[in-house]
Amino acid sequence: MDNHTAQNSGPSAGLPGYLPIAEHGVIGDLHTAALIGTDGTIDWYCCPSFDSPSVFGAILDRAKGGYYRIAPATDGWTPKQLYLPDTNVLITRFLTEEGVGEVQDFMPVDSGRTATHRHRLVRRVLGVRGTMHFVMNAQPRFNYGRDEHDMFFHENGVLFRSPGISLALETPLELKPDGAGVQCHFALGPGESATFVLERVPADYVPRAYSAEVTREAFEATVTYWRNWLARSSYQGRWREMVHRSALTLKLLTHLPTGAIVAAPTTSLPELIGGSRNWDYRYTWIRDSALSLDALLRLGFTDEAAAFMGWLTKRFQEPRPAQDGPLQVIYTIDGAAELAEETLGHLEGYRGSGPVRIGNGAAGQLQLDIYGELIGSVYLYDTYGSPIHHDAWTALCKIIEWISQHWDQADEGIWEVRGGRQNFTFSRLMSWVAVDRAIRIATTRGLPADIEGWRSVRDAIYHQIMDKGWHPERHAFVQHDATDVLDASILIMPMVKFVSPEDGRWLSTLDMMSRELVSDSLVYRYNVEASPDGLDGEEGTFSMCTFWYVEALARAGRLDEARLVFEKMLTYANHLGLYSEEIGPTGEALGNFPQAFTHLALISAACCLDEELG
Amino acid sequence: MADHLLGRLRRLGVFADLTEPELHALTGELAEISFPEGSWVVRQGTKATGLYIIADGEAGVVIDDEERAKLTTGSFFGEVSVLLAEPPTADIVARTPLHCLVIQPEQAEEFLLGHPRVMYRMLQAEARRLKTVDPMRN
Repeated sequence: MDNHTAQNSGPSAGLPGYLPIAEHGVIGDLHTAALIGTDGTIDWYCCPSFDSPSVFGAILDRAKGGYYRIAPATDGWTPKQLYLPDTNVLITRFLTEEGVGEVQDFMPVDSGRTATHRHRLVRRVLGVRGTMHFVMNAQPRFNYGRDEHDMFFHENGVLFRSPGISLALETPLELKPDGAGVQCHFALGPGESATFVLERVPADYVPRAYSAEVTREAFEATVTYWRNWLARSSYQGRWREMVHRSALTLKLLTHLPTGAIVAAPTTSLPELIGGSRNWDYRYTWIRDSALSLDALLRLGFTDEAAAFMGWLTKRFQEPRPAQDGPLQVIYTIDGAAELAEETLGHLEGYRGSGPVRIGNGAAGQLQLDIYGELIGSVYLYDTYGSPIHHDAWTALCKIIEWISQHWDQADEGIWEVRGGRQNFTFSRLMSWVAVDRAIRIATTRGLPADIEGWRSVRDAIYHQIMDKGWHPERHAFVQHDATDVLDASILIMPMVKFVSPEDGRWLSTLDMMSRELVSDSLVYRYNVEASPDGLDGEEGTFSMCTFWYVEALARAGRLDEARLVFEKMLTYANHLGLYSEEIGPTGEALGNFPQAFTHLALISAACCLDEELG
Repeated sequence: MADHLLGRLRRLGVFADLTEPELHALTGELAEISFPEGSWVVRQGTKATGLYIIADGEAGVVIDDEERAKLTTGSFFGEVSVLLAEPPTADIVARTPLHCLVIQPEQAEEFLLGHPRVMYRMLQAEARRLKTVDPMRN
């Protein structure tokens, strides 16, 4: 225990610099999630919900964000990180000259007992070989580092009391004050363990001791929960472990009490290091959620679809001004429509990539495509889940009536551009999907609808895309009717069955995209220089688009190419099979992490490619 | 010295409900005492010496030569012998340099009745200890 001095010199002195975004795993309890670095540091954790203020936010500011670290007390260790197979229980291992130890991180899931959910984050430390000396340092910084807190030491731990929330860190080991946090040094021999439970508690709570037996039961219950959930997957194809990791990750992003799905559990991880494209993704985008459901439905997970439909039905019933459309683009997980965007100037941002934003200004945008993704997923749920209910059908008919009146207008589009509205081809395409899928549901189920009226709207959209979305000189479908710029979102065109995957117009578009948007198999969303989007800076390649590219190649019969692009894309996953939103020029993960878009597209591409390969 | 003691009091769970003036008043009621690592703080069967609250350090509860529990910062001990005016039923040994706040046996009743919120916190902790050892629950 002689070599701890370096770790003790200050509240943040024990925390090294920023880890790469990809050097993290994620755990969660279907209410919120935590990022855990390969160095044993939790540097992102919001409590009690995904969109609550952060308690540990060192990923956005090493000095001010707060962290919770358990690591060897000596220097010179090698970390390894893995998930316990088929679960979201994360194991971070440390190998040193003196021995081997590991930390098992998990958050118990209280399925069905949400009212009493305790939001526990359990860190179970085990000695494996030799004698391992560990140091634990918990430095909470409540409300994104804006709130002060008090600490109270009790017999079995410490209570952190802030104005907004109180957390107890419970352990039988002695905790020492360390600045605004606590630390603890301990040694474990083979087979020995120590447990730290961080839990949300009332402000007057007295921390309790968790016995080894209670901890083990919580561990086993959590493992069983995830394995039982994954056992419902019907996927038997190639790349099954990657597909299942993506499914487990999508499930982690669902909010059990409401059925909502967040786009990612983080905010402001930059799309380019040092850049300003930093957004808060801890909300429910209609688009992302609908596409996530498509992916989960493909694998046989219908409960999540049913829960999201319940959330969505409530949104349908809320009155909104007619010009804004029946639904907002983004909601909070509780369904609130207010997401005022705010900048946290006191945080430097990941590796200095400011500003750090919370809230999301895109909520007020008009994005006509969301109805296509939405009704597309309703159609899949109606087909593979359970038949649509009367109230949902009535609401859906009202959406189609609204689209019939409003599809032919400019909007901000899928990429949420801030450079002014355009007549985006993708928005038209997805409006076509909305009306087409509604017609299919009505026809299949014999439901009342103005089928003739809807058909004429659908066909009008079709003709407009073929007339104005098609650029005869470029021999390609383009981003919008006033440009010749390509846009990778259009890769979805054959997937939604708007054109045959072997249609001449489509094949020439695919060729053009391969030439202009694809770089070493990775796909850019669009050429930012050619199509100013109102934002400064460049960005990486967009992983979801790369997976869509795989599907487009596979459906076009270019199977060898599709398989190689897919396999290459798999090499960009991190050590756990997780992806962020984008990939930088040297292969680094960029943007919020892990991201639903990428994982849902991986599932879709794997299913498609596996089917095409036979 | 009083400021130093005040800083310690603010951090301890048993005093979490007290206002700043109440904490100030408390500094006059509590004595501080330190023990080196390895020394006996309380011996089984001897005279009650006080109600101790650990301000910093770690102590072991030893019964019949076997260490049964660890007490850390925020824990208290000696309350049973003080309240029942009986000799201590366990030995307490300092496992690290130990710094305690102590209430003399003859002042314990007045102290507890004068600070009902502190008494309530101690009762809560006592209840949790009972729950842990209750054979019906284990």
